Amino acid sequence: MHVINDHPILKFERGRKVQFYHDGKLMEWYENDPIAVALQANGVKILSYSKRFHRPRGFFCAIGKCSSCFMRVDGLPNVRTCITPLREGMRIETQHGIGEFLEDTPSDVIDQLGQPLIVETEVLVIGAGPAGLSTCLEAADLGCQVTLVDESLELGGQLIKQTHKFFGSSEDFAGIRGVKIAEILREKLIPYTVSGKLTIFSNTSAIGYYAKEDVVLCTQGEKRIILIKPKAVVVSSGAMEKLIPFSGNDLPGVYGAGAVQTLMNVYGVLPGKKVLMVGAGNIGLIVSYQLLQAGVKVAAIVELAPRVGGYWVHASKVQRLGVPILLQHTVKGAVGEKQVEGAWIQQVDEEGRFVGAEKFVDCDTICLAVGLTPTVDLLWQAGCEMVYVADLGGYVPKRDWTLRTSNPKFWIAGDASAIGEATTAMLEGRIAGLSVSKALGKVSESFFKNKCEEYWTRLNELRMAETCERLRKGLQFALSGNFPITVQSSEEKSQIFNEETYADAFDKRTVQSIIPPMDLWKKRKGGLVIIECPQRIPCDPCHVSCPTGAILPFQNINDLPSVDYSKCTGCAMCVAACPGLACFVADMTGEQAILKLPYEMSPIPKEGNVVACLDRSGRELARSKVRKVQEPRRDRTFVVHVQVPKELVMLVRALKVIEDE
Amino acid sequence: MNDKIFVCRCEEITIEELRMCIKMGFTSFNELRKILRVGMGPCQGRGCRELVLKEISKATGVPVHFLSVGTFRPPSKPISFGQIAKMNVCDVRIFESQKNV
Repeated sequence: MHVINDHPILKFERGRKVQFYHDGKLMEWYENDPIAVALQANGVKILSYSKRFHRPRGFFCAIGKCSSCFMRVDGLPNVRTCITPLREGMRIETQHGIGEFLEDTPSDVIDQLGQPLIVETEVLVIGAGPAGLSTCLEAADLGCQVTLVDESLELGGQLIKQTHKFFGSSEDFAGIRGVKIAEILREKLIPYTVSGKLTIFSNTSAIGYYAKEDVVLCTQGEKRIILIKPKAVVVSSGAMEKLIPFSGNDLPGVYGAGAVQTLMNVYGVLPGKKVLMVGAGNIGLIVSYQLLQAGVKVAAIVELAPRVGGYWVHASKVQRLGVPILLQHTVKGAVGEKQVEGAWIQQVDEEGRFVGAEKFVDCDTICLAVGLTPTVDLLWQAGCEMVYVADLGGYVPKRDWTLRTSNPKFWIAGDASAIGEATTAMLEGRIAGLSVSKALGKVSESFFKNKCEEYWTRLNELRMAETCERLRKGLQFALSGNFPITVQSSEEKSQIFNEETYADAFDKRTVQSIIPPMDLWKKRKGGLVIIECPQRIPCDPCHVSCPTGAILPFQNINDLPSVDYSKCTGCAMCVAACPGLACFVADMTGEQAILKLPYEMSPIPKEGNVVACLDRSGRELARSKVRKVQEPRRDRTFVVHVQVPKELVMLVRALKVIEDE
Repeated sequence: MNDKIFVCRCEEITIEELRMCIKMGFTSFNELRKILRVGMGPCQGRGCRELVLKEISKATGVPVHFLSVGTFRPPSKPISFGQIAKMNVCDVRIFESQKNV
C-alpha cells in the first residue's frame, strides 16, 4: 500500500472520500488533495507521456514549478495536477504529448473559467513560505495593506512538510517542529485577514510582471486571471529542486526531495518502498530521516562531495538507524522501463571522474536533494540586476541591506534571495516587511533603523555556523551598497570536530571529550547527560530546556554546549528537547547501565517490549527490554529507558523495536 | 530505453544534443534555445537553464557569471487562452490610463 496510516509525528486529517476516474477507471481518494497525490495513492505513477520520445513521466517538484505533471482534467489539457485539488467525479486522463482538447470537449470547460479580477494593493507578497508569511506579519503589523498570493493549496511553503524540530534560538522557534511553526504563523495572520489588512489568494501563481502596465499577472487554479497592481512587491517565491544529469533522469520515481516530503508529510502517501537519496546536505539528511519515520527504507545516501554538507547531528540521526552515507559517490543511471526499478551508483575521484565499478542499488525511488535553485523569474522580468553566485544556489538579485533589489519596486526574502534555511528566511521576511513599510512611509527613519539592526544582528548570529560558510561567502557578491552591519564571519571552528568522524561516527578522542566525569557518574542516581554535538551550529534548546542549569548558557548561539555535571540530575529534558537528538542520559549506579535515548520512530515502544540496541552506524550490539517510556514535552519525541551492559554505554545510541517477538 | 540523459525535461533535450550544438559554435543560451528549444517548454528554463550554462562554461572556459542567460518574458508558466479571452480589454486600459494621470 502507498498510504501512511501510522506515523510517529503526524496525524493526517483527511477530507471526504470521493470517487474519480483515471483513464475511465474508477478510483477513490480524499477531496481537495492534489490530483497527482490521489493518483500516487492509487498506485499510478505515470501521469503523461512526453511529446518527443513518448517517454513516461511522473511528477518531479510537486509544487507547481516544473510542469512535469500535466494531465487532462475534465477535458481541459495541461492541468498541473500537483497543485490542482481533487473533486468528486473528476475525469482525469493521461496526457500524450502536447495537451489537446477532445473533439467532444464540452464548451462549458471554457464557461467555467472565472471572470478576471483586478486588485490594487500596497504590498504584494509572492509566496507563503516562512519568508512570505513573516513579511506579511511585519508589513500588516506596521499598517500596510497586504495581498499574499501562493501557489499551493495550503499556506506555509516547505514548513508544512517538516517533521523535525528547528534549530536556532528558542526566542524564535527552536525546538518546535516545522509543521507546528506553519500553524503558528497562520494563526498569527488571522487577525489581519479578519480586519481586512491582509488578502490571501491561495492556489494562485504569479506568472508575469508587465513593466509598462506595472501589473503582476496571476492565475488562480488555472481558472481565472488576477491582475494585481501593487505599490511594492516582495518576492519570496522560494526555490526549485535542481536536476542532475544521469541516464533515465526523467523516469517516474525520480523525485525532488520537496516532492517526496509533500507526498508523505502533507498527504500521508508514500513515494515508494525503498529510496536512494542523492545528496547529503541538510535536505537529503532530513528527508532520509522523514522517510524512515514514514516506514520507507532508505537504501543509501550518496554524496558527490568528500564530506557531508548538512549538520553532523542530522547525519548521525540517519546513520544510527542503519542508513549508509556513501561519500564521493553519485547516481549514474536509473533502471526501469516505466518507473524506477533500481539505480546504478559509482564512486568519483577528487576531480569528479568516475572510478571503480558501478554498483547496483535496489530501489523504486530516486530522491534528488542536490541543491535548490532560487525561483527568480519575476525579478528577471522586472529588470532587477542579477548575479550568478553558485554558493547561493544560482542567479540571485543584487540587493541592499534592506533587501531591496535594483528595481526599487521589488524586494526579496527567503530562498529566492539565497538558499538558506527557514529560521533565517523568517528573519529576512521580517526585514523585507519592515523595509517595505519604510518605503511606503508607514514607519519613521529611527524606528526602521533600530528594528532593522536588531533583525540583522540575529540574522548574522544564525549565519555564523560552520555550515554557513558558503552562504556567508556568497552574500558578499549579492549584497551591495552601504552596509551598516558587517556580515561577521566566524573563523572559529570547533575543537573536537573532525570531518573524518562522518565516516564512522566518533573517533576515540572525540568520545573521550564527551564522557562525563567518572567519579561523579558512578554515584549519581538518575544519571548524567552525554551530549554528542561536535559542530558549531546555531541552536540552544538544550540549555533553555534544562531545569537545573546544568547545561550552561551560550555566549554565542553557535557555541558547543558545555555542562556543569554537578548540577545534572539526569532528568532527560534535554534528550526530549534537542532538535538534533544529540543528548543522551546514562545512569551508571546499578548493576547494568540505564540509557535514556530519544526516539521518534514507529511503533512507539511500550514497557517490556524487546528492542535492538544500535550503535552509531546502526549495528545491533545487544537486545534489551524497555524499562520506561516518557514523553516529557508532549511533542512526540519519546525518551526510552533501556538497560544495557555498562561497557556499551558509550556505544549504544538508538533502538529499534523488534516487532515479531 | 534508459540510455538518455536529459538536461531539459520539458523539451526532452539530451546532454549529447546540447554538447553537439555547443561544439558547433552555439555558445549562448539564446542561440541554443532557438536551435534546440531548451528553456522554451512549460517550465521556461527553471529546470534546465543552469545545467545548460554549466555545459557552455565547461566547453568554452568562460565562468557562468559572465555568460548571457537569455531573455525572460512573461508569463513564466503556461496560461490558457481561455483565461486571457475572458479578460476585458478595458481592464488593461484602466491601468494604462492610471499611469498617464
